[in-house]
Amino acid sequence: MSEEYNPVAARLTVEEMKNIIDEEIVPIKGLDNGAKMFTTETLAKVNRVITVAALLSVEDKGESTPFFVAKLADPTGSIQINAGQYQPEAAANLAHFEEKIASTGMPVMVSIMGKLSTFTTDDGKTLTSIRADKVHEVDSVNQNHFLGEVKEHLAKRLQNPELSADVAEKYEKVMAKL
Amino acid sequence: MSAEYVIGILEKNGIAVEQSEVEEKLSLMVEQFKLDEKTAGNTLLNQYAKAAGKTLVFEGSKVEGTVAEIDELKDGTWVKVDLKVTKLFEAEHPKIVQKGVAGDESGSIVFTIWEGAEVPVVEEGNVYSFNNVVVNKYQNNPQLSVNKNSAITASDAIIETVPDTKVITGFVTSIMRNSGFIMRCPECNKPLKKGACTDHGKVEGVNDIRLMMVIDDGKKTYNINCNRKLTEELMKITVDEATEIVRDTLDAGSIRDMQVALLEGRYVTAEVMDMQSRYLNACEVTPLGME
Repeated sequence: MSEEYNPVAARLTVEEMKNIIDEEIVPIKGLDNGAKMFTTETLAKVNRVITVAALLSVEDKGESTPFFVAKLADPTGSIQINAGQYQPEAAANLAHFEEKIASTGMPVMVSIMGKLSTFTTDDGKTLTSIRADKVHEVDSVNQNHFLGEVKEHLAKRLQNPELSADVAEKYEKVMAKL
Repeated sequence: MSAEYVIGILEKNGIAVEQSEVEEKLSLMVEQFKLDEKTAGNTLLNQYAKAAGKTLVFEGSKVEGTVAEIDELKDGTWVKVDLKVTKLFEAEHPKIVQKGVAGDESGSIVFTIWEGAEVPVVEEGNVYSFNNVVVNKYQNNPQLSVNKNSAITASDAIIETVPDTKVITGFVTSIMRNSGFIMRCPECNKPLKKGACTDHGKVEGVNDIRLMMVIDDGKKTYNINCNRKLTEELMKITVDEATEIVRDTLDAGSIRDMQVALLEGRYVTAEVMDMQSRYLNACEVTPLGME
């Protein structure tokens, strides 16, 4: 990725990440590839995400190369994150956290930087996961600051008149969990 | 671009031409040389201008710029804005009449007054109405370009203080590749590239450490630059200690690795210069939590 293209990362709740209603390819100035832009049911446009949440479990499901699959949870729900051979820094840190979780029996608070990815199952369900590029351990002070940002951003999204009444109502309840 | 347009421009510039001649030349360029009309028209205009020894003046660009806020300026737009001139620099280019910094309560930006602009000389401390100036980039830094289509007039707008610095709190998304341990040229202080200075050739470099990172506050991303002193404070090591680490590990990137471990993926609060600029110099950086 060229250093010029550095869009602001979305501050989403896990619940929003799991409810993607649209996706499109957006061109990047100066590059041949485009960026995948997802739209959540709260009408947020997402390419990069940042989240600070609890890492519950990590497993290496790779065969010839490492492929880490982990479970991440914020106050609104849990989601799967992946890191494979093309995300070496994230994979290395996840390996380290796998050990830590095993030895302490407790989740690890982490910050994740990555991109959303969707997968449609045979019975038509769309599953969202995060392809993690960077994973770091952080403390609750950082998590609280992040949750403050999410609340602010979600509140702004809920003011969008194009949101259906159902979605607006659902996320008022989700907000209360933050 | 029709023959009428070409003739019109030439007339306005005092160059008389035969309608039939212009039409003939234009159609020749379009048909035989497969040029598009606009290119053909421009080529013809340049030919006539050169023959007459004149520089053409075009009309129609004296459009009123839109009023804008400093932190909302978009590249390529023509704007009108009231600003206080806070600093004036040495103009390094022969075609630049004046260059400096101007701002209002929401921030500052560099402005450049180019030769050919019919504007008064500006003075530090005064507030001016910059009318019809274009926002563009010079050496990758945004600036207001005052050119022959612009106007500068004294303004009654009261701008009390133009802030020097602003405080931002954001997530460190990356430590830049050029961050960490570097060697500088003893003559001009520029970072050396492969042991050599682009201006002074092979020199004995001076060791230095710096921190360059990208911070994302949810609304914008900022490229933050920390000098040696600030980097030493944050990393809790001196340049000499950093040099030893580089020598012991034989890895110049080891200092950057330490910065990644320390700061990447966390929130920091930084006090930075309040400027519309590609890189912002920080005077203070405080990481959140993690004691």
